[in-house]
Amino acid sequence: MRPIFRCLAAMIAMSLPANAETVSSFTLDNGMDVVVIEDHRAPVVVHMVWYRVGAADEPVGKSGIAHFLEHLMFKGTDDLEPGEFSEVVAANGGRDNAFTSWDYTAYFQRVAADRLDLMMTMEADRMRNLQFSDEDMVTERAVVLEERNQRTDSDPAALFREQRSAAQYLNLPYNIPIIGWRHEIEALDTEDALAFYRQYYAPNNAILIVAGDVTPDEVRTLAEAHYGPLHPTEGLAERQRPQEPPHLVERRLQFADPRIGTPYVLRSYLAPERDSGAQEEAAALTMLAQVLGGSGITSVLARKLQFETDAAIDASAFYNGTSYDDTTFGVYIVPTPGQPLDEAEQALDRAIAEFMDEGVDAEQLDRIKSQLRAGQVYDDDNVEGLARRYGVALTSGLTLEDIAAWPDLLQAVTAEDIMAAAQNVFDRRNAVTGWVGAQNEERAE
Amino acid sequence: MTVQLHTLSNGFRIVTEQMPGLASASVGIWVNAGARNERIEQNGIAHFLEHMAFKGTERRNALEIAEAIEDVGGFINAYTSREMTAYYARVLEQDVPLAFDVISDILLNPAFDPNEIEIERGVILQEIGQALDTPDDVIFDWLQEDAYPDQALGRTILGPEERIRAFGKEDLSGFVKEHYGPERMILSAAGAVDHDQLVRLAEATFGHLTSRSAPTVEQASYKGGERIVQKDLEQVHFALGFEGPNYRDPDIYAAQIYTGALGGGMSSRLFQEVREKRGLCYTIFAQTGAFDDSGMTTIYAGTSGEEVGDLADITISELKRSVDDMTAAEVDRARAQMKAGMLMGLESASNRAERIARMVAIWGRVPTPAEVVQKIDSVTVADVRRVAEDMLSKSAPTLALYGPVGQNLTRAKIEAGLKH
Repeated sequence: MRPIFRCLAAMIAMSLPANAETVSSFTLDNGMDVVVIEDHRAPVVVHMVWYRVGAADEPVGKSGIAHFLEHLMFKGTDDLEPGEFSEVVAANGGRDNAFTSWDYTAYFQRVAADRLDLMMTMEADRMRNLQFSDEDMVTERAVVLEERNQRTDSDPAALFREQRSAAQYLNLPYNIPIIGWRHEIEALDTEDALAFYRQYYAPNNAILIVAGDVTPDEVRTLAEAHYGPLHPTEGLAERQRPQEPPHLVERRLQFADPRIGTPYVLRSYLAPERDSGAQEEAAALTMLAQVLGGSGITSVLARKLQFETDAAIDASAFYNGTSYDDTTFGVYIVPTPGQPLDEAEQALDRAIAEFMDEGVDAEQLDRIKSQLRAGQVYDDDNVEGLARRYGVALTSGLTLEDIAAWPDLLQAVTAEDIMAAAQNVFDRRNAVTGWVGAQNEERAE
Repeated sequence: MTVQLHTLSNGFRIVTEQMPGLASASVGIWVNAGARNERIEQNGIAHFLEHMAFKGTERRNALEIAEAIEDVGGFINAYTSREMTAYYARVLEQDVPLAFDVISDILLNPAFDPNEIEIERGVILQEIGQALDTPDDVIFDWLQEDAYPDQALGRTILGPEERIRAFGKEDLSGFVKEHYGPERMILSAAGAVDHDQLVRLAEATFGHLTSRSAPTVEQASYKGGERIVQKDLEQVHFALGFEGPNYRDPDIYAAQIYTGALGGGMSSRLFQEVREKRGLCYTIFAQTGAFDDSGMTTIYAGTSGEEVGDLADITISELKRSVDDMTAAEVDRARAQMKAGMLMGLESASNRAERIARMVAIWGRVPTPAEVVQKIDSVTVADVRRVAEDMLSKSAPTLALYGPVGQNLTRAKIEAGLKH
């Protein structure tokens, strides 16, 4: 297991340079990591348990089991009836939810600070004592299939995303949808869910994050009482997933669906993620995405494609470096109505080629950096969002030191760094280019 | 936390709330005019106007507006609802005057450049196309149209395509002239803000405007209706509406607690009965929306064509059952959720700025959170059951269905089910 704090001291408190909040961390004897983010402005806490397991850790052929299990976690335990978890949270004026990604599964409640004890009692209970029957499995499978209908099959953009990811990753399990392929969801059974649960839902695979009106000492006392007695899973190794081989050829997709009202061209490139202790490349790519697409008006792609020419009604770039394994860098163009996708793609390529010649505008870079500095202040004013970003980063293999270093790394990125990152990332062999529209269009020779 | 309200002699209001410990602020102008203030031939103009907000003023072109805010790390946005239009920004403490300057410039000196109008027309037409392709959006528009047929409150915010194609500069400036009077604008700011500074700025910038009489708003009259649209979709979208209290009605709190207990979250009746016990859907919820003179309680679910009949039957049975057996525990739970939702929402500066602006628009003052909590606390189980009964006995249902509706499900059938 990667330690979330490299120094591994029993308790370390640090004030992050740009932030007012104090973050501290410690590890329970059973291996459960605990992070406390203090914010005493309101008598509220966010209690989150993040498991270092997600859709990319599923056994082959069992796609969707991580997300399915997230649903089952509300079914009940020896002490709680099905549905009672949410009932208790609601009766105590709280809000609860859960989410699954490729790299993590997380559960959170937001409650008055004096209800933290109760939340920990229930969350610790369902970490090891979940109960569900074959009948629960049948009912919940219907719910999950309906969820897939609603969120994926009803949404052509989501269907395209699924196909694009499958084409993007030749080997990494990021090529599987989080919700799962329909035929595999239909076949998931109680044994699959239980095996996954027993293996991964354990204190030594979890990170507890408590943010809000609490002290580290209070959290330690409660965490030791509730999570401390839970048994770890023996022999749980650090995640090792199949890695990408070199990509030798661009993949091109033509995705046609009559429900698509607004056609677009989207290209994504395989890109490095933030690596612990080596986040510089990801910092440069983060800034590249800002320069190309951070603002609907002042960024390079908007300027060149929407204002200097009328090729597009929208054009932007995206990159999310917080990922356990390789991630993607993307660009897209939504052409002006009536423009063929072929021309749109050419316009997008021209805009990027011009940018590669012209380099980064110094004023724009300054503007982006001041936005990021202001963003730090806004983040600080939203403790729940902050806690969530810690959870995502920590389950993506980063440490608290990496999180603390990130804002300064972004500020240190130079125009040269950005151009070098662009040179590296814009390699068509690593790309998937998709044309998405109501019907297929011809590609001009 | 201190709320301060000041009214200029022409009726323009400034409301602020200081939030100790915050280094940023949310500041904006809320205009008491939205889609329902449009005459039929103007339908869509309030939203069009909002789109033009960042497209240039007499002093700044679109790029300069964006740069002014981005240079200081802020962001700016706008939205249109049926009764309000809001223009707001999030900035650091020292940049509040700048945000005020940009927003007031947008409201007072819009350029309405013909080229920009053409560009935005294209964007809005795309937006209309997208809304039609998003079944769980469009179904609420249909429900609203059928609940308030041939009325301003029933019309869509985006407006019909043919009107959007025809709007020009005169239409935009005409709506501003009619509706953006000083007594209908509220400058609202929350976070790290200085009330006196904003009053001075408002006086200097808006003090010269003369007040004008507000055009009368067409009274809403809930009728109820039905729309069933067959389409080959993955799911049937089911929306059922009933008339509810308006936002000044004393029953509004009981109605909100009722919908919370009925379908407000994972512990609610509909969620437990329809989803958790029977697996008939992924999404199901109930909500109460309120307007100046009417309101609507809505139940929404997405399910398969074969199961929509069962889903409707269970929903009807839960609606009927709740009149007699809604328990104190359920009411207390919904009450706790409602209070917590309100109090937790108060942590964000944007939510606070929005809340105080709305309160001033509705009540002319800002009730304290304690006052609201007291009202929520005073709702009894009997109140909730009475509201549930009133809803079923006094209001005709509105039904909207969209998708592969395989069964003979109609409004008449639902009405019959509710009676027996």
